[in-house]
Amino acid sequence: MKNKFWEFYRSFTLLPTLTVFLFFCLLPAAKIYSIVTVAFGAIKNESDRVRLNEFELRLPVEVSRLLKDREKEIKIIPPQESIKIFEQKKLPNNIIYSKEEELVQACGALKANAILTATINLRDDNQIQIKQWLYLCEGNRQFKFVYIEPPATALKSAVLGTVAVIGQYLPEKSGGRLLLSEVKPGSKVAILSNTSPEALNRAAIALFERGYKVSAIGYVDFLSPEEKELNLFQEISSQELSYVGFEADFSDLGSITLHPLENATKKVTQQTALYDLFVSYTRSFDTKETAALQRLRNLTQADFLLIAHNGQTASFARVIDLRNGKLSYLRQQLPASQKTDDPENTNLLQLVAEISIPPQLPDVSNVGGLSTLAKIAGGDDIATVAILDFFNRSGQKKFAWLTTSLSAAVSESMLRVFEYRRADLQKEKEATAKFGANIQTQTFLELQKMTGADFLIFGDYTFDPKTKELLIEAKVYDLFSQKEIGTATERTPIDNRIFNAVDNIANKIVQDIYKMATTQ
Amino acid sequence: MKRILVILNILFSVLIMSHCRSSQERYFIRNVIAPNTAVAVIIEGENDVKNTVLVEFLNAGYNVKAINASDFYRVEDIFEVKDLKKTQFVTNVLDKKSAEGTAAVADKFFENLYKLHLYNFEAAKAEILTEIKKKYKVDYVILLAMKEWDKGYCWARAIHIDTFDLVYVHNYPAKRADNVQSIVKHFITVIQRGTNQPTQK
Repeated sequence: MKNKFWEFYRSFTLLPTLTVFLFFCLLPAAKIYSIVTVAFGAIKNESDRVRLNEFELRLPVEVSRLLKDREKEIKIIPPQESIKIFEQKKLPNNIIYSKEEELVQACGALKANAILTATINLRDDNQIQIKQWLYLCEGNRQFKFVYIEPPATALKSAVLGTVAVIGQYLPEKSGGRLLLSEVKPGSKVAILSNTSPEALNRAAIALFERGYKVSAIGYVDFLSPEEKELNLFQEISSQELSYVGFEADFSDLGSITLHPLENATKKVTQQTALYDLFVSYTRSFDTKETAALQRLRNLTQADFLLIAHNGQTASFARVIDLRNGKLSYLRQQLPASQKTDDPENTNLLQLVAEISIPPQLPDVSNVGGLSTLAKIAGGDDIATVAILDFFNRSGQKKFAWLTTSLSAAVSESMLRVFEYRRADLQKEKEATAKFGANIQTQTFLELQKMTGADFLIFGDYTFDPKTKELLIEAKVYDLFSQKEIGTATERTPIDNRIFNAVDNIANKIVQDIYKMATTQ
Repeated sequence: MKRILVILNILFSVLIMSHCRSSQERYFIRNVIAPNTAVAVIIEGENDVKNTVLVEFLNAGYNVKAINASDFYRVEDIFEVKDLKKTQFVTNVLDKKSAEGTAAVADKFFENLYKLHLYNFEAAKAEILTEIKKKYKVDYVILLAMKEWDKGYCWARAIHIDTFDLVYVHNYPAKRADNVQSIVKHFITVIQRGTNQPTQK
């Protein structure tokens, strides 16, 4: 009887024990699988200003650097790696994916949770406009963030925004919360919400109790906005840091019949006029939205506008800083089952509590070292680079022409992605004649004095007779700190593919320079 | 058995009633609104309720301006906010279910148009308050929702027109012993005393 009892007891205790054991064994493994992978897709400079190429190279570098201490949670795939994967999978690379099916394919190829792409433009008012698209593979959703900043601060803002989005928003899948700046107590907050007047009153009391002032916007009448009206505020496309979803596809419009206007739109000319109207209005909406927000600010002196949508199936919230038009807070998911007529609307009260928490944003004070972007606004902190002739190690005179051609090609390629000042060519020649291939740490100081350069690029090449390929190696040295900061090697046939190899070397050199600048 | 059913019935009714009365009185006041202050009192409710409210404010010594007390209509008869909104936007211009396709761009156009209207609508309200300030020379607008006071729900707000700040909000679940007079007296006591409730969680 006793034995039977123990058998029975064991059979019942073994299972939970094993479960607990397995749980703790698998916990670390589960943690590995919970890593969020963010792939950088194309980052494109759409302006004709070469200087803005700095963004293409620097944004991923700076973002990766700032997220380095969270590499157990977030894995970053840099753009060059994404391009390689796209090439292998025969998918188009170096384009901004915008169509749903393309993005789904790209997610599958990259095995990523999210893809981040961006375009950079210089506006007529000399402000830099950065548009970032964050596509979330799970749930098939895409967000767009727009930053408009002076050149001197644009990179910092874009890096800060990107790190905040990746660092806060992505791991917070359940809540979709993004706090970008603090809504400081003492400031004046306006609320628009499709809740009952009593719930709005309660939210005002909660704000008062936390030391805020409350603007009368939303409190002037006896009716609250309706849910479908608040739906429109999901996207905030003011000109500063903002949030919008999928862009409208204008290409479809030509084939659409607009029913109440059917007769009128049969004529192609009228259809075109309608098309033009829709397009121009939609494209310029950011300026209209900015002006509308500015008007609210001027009339009411409100500092922030809290939009709290209370939906039957889903809810969201936004906070816009009316002083500068920037998005301060974004909440994509809130519990949906809130009754709009409940005076104690917990969603609203939760929002009031959340927005008052100071956000934990990364320190971007070191971002922007060696940036040449300020030059656009009149500053000049351009680095000087000396590129010496490449050294012919092939032992064959027939490749001697490459010594000067390679340095010229690297210089030209670098200029396409990086604004720098080339050292005096005559002085470079003198340095080549004096040092030849004897570039060593001891010679850096003298080279710096001779050429006046901050950085020195020197390389060599050999020929592999078996593969009939050229092996090019280029090193970049920081002459002030007297150290080598990077090496780029490429293998290429001696045909027009040599230019691709040179481009790759130039890109690598520029990235090494940026990396060095940001880790100082 | 019958007795058990009666007890259960009573318990159930008590539960239901306690649920209905769950909303608490809550208020916050930033500025005392002293007697003699020029106020515009806007009341949501029937005309007899409006008269009672205005009498209480006059008795309390306020300089009450006739904003929505100079006619025989109710607020919603003359100031139907929803109508004003709806005249500006027709959502069904495009038939989304049409086999000929959807018009995302046109939708976006109308959405943006209406969104702008919503911003401007809020701005227009601010401009109207400024007009009220100029024309009637009032310092505060006091809104009282008395339409459902007999169902246990009424609230009050005060807006300081100069700053466009909300300075007072009050949710008041009317009690059985309350009438319009007692409710308004209670609101007036709070705005004249200016002492806040202890912070509640």
